[in-house]
Amino acid sequence: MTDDRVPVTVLTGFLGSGKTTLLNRILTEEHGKRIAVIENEFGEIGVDNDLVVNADEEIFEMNNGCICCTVRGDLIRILSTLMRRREKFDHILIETTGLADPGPVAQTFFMDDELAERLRLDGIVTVVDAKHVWQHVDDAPEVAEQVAFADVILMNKIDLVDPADVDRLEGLLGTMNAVATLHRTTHGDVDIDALLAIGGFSLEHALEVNPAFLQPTYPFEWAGAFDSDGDDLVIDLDAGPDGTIDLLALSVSDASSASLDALLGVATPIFTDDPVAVASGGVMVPGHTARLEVGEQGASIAVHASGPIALFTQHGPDEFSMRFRRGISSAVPTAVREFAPDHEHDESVTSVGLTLPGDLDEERLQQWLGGLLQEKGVDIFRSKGVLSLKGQPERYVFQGVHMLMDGTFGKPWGDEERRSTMVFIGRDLDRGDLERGFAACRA
Amino acid sequence: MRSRRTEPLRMAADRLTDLPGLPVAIDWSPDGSRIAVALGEGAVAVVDVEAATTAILSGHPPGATSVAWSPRDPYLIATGGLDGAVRTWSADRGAPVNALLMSDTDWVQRVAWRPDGLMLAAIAGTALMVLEDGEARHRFDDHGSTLTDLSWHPRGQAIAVSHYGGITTWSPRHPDGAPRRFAWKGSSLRLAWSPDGRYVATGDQDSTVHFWIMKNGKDLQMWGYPRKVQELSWDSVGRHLATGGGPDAIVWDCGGTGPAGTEPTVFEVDGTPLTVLAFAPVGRILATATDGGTLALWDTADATGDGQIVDLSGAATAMAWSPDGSRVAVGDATGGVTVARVDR
Repeated sequence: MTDDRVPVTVLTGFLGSGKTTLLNRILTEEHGKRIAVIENEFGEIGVDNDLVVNADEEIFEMNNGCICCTVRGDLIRILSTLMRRREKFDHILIETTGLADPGPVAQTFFMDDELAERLRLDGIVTVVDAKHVWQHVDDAPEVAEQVAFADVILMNKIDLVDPADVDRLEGLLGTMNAVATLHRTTHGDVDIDALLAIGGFSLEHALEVNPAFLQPTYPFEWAGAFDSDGDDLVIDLDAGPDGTIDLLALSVSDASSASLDALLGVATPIFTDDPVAVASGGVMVPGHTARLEVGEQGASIAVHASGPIALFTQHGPDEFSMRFRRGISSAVPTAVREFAPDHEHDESVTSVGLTLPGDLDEERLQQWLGGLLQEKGVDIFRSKGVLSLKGQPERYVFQGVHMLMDGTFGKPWGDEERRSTMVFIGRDLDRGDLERGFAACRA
Repeated sequence: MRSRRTEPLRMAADRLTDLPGLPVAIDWSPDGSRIAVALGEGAVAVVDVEAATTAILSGHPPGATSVAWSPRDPYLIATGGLDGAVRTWSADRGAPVNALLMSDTDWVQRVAWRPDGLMLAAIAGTALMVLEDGEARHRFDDHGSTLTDLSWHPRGQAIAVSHYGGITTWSPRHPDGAPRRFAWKGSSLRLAWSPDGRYVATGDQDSTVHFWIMKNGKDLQMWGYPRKVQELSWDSVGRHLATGGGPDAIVWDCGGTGPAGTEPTVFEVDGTPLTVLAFAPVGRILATATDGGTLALWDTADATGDGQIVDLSGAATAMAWSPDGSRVAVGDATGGVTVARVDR
């Protein structure tokens, strides 16, 4: 069945992020197409044959009072008028203001039957200014929401930013929204198809949920295993980006990578416990997190343990030029793991990916998911999943915006291993809670 | 609730013409000889119904939204469109008479003559404007939200406009007087003042219909519609209101103590959503047409009778009755206009 609905792309981003430049590029490169642009901010845009319409953000609450059912009245009115012509537009672009909440925009396409029949929300593209986004993420909740809702994120103006900071930004954006595709751009220079043919809200596309990001985020960025060798392990550090660093040592039976991996779950809760402040030259014992003060002169700390240990550090060794030694000879970890940084900035907006082998019980799932969306729907911006329901030969795929959900049966499992995968992007999500709730749905 | 599926009792109709665009609004000349058709692409077509000849006016590129033939001047047509302008045209010369730019940023959603043809009202954005002799006389801006529709009182003493948050009425005779506000927490999309002046009915985004009782400002809410309601039409005396908002035409009886607690009569066509409906200006014939392209005529006085149907070339997009009620013109998404004649 071909979908002949007109695709709609929503372009969000803070003022000055380069949205208008990108919009102009799209219109120039796609000049053969009939494109309608709905813009909320004045900008010098438009190319011959394109229709540019100005909109004032009008949020409609539906009479049932549910805030998750707010829609954009201006868009309903404008889009239905734009569809009243014999030669349909090839594409419709909606440029929102830097302060717009993408929720009501996306919900408009679910809540209005007339629009849902004629238009297809293809995706939300968010442009961030790689240099200034840091302060915006802190100051403006809209920026975090725009990142959370995005199918595609353009880290723009990277020519003005140190490459290491772009890496850091990519890590930050990745933890906030693990599903979005990230592009590094200078003037919004990315392949147009990567922006206009996303299929971000199609259920077919939900099948492509990538399990790579499903690994949980850890409060530490680095872990290393060290063999025992008589002398205490000493860590020497230079001054780093912060005045302190949290460190945790745990005793292990052997200094292998397998032992390191086995300890990740144990180390996480200990690491987030209140750390003990330790001054430079001090000693830490296994099992307790130490917060080492690192002054201008650097610092050093010894780990007092008899056997092999696993060491977990809040930052990667290069950030503090960390060096390891026993006595006067340098020590080299026998196994090392690095983890995506879990930045302090973004604690409120995160992605939680869940996966379970085997089947789910449909009734329990409905009860859990229904209750979850009822209670936390305001904070869950987007969700996607591919589920294995007991007794169903086909995958169940769904995707949602706040409390609104759309689901259907997709490709049959066949000989493939049955498993269920789910992603939530939201504010103040409790991973543990979600994991327990999901696990309780097992058939 | 009475619900019937119509037998395929087909009736004769003429498919008049192919227009260069999608008809979004139709109006008849007062003498019933011609129709003016506003096209979504911008042009306005004037079609001689008997001769089947068409004249094209430049209209409102990139889109026309509304057309209203003057009730007192057989040659004067008013139109509105996406260019933010209200324009009048001479139908015999095929030439512009007057143009008034109402807004740089908002488009003109609707134009409507006062029933005596002496004034023209238009809405664009949050503003209602009243024109006289081609000039702006009054402007009412205080609505807080974009206006979606406008309707004159049947005797022309007031104008009602719909918007997010209810409806507002203004009196152009007392332009400095306070408006009457009828507040409701929701978005009204269409409105229609009943021919007896008692009610203003609205069709709403949240799939309801409201009856505002003008005497006391109270309202009745009718819910259970499957879709948002954008189709409303009163019969000629203001007793029955026909509503769309889904595949069925739902007719409320406002006689006696009003529609509260009554069961409406339901007319089902082809299972696809109704896109247009209109009561004839005399009698009780109701015309409905659908997204699936079926025009049906119903005698609503005979609730057991079957409708007569005509297959259109595409989804119905606009409809208007001739002033004498003998013919109904329907535009469809292929650019066709079909005229069906009522057997008497």
